[in-house]
Amino acid sequence: VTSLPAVQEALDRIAADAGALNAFSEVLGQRALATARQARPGPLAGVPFAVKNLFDLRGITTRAGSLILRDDPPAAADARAVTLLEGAGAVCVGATTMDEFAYGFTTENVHEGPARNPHDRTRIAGGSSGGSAAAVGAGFVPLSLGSDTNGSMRVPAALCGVYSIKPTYGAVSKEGMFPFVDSLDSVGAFASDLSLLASAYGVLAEVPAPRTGGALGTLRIAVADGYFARGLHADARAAVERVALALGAQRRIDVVNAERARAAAYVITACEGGTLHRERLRTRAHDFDPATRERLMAGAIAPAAWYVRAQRFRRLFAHTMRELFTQCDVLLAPATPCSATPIGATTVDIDGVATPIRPNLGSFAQPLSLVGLPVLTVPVIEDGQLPLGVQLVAAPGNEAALFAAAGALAGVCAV
Amino acid sequence: MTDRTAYIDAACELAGFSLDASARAELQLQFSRLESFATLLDAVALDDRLEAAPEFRP
Repeated sequence: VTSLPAVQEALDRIAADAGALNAFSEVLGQRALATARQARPGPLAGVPFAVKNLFDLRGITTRAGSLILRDDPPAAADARAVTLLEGAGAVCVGATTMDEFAYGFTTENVHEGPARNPHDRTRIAGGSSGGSAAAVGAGFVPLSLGSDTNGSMRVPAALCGVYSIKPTYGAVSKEGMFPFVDSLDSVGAFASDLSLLASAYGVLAEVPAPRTGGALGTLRIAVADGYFARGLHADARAAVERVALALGAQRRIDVVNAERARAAAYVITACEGGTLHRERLRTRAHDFDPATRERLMAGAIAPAAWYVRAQRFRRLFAHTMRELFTQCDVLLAPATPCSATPIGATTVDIDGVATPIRPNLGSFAQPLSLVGLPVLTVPVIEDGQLPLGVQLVAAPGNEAALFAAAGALAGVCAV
Repeated sequence: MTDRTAYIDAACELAGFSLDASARAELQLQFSRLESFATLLDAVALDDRLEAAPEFRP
């Protein structure tokens, strides 16, 4: 058994693009071929995969999309998530581009250039795991690793038209991952195929791979209403309705305090992220991406009262969501308010309002990750249109329901 | 100079952040945005016995 042909084909596809998509910050051909020559049985045998460049990869520097970390020594060992995937037979082929320090939704990185959308290269891939999503969307690799703090997997998955799983907070080890917001960061995967995503999730979370076939059975599925039904384009709303129709979901549930949950996530992110980078902001401010720097500074000097209140609200919202999931098993919500916007654009028209893109692409993702919920994003692609995504959300630990529901969407979510 | 501007300047000095005029204007914008989100949370009644989530565990 050898993984060599599949890995060589992936490397050839990446080389043929010659960096035009800007999905990879580093291609690891020698490492990949060496790994592929060893026969490795397992559920991911022979699957080439890419890794967001905030996970350690032995022998290269973990840059996290920054200039500041470029002079750091190479990582001495692979991140735990990489080790798990390779232990299951997958083969790492390279590191991918991202927003600086994972603080963004567009992957328009001033140091590395923008990751481009595989469906329209004049448009963004989404972020912050933009390179990982673009690499799968373009067909370079069928699987990639990403991280999600406020939507950093769900947003690019939607815009690039691929599947993603953001597991329950804490379900996958973060060992060897450069942090952003420790109390929100999750490790997850993108895939071009649902069954591959399920296998990868099982490997990463060290649990049996969930089932993706069969009938919905007794699963209760509802559509998120209120906050999640406002401030989005008609096509994003239509994507949710299409999935709801396919799953027979008629019930609407208003997620109380969702807007405030987004606010709490914003405050916690700025404060924890700003605190993490406080010393670098003091000594190397000019080496930050300007799109990142002042947001981190604002968080670093924010009154402690804002952070503590956000954390206390977080406890309350966790109770709210726990109660909500006594009424349904899977909740449907839009992944983004719109499809991929042009690279360089700063606003998008939503309901007649010029809405800033960077802070708002994750507005439907942020409330859900605030309380650690697992979310599977399914792609919805209409002929001739840019992809969109729908979030399938469950109670903590109930990833099985997400994969079961997504499995019932065959034909609706063709990638 | 508003109280907010004075707060930002004092906090930056304490943190050791040095800013040119452009960065200072951007920081004020970002701080105001952060404040607007924090203010949204002020409207929620939180029981005094509701503990902060020190690190979220589902």
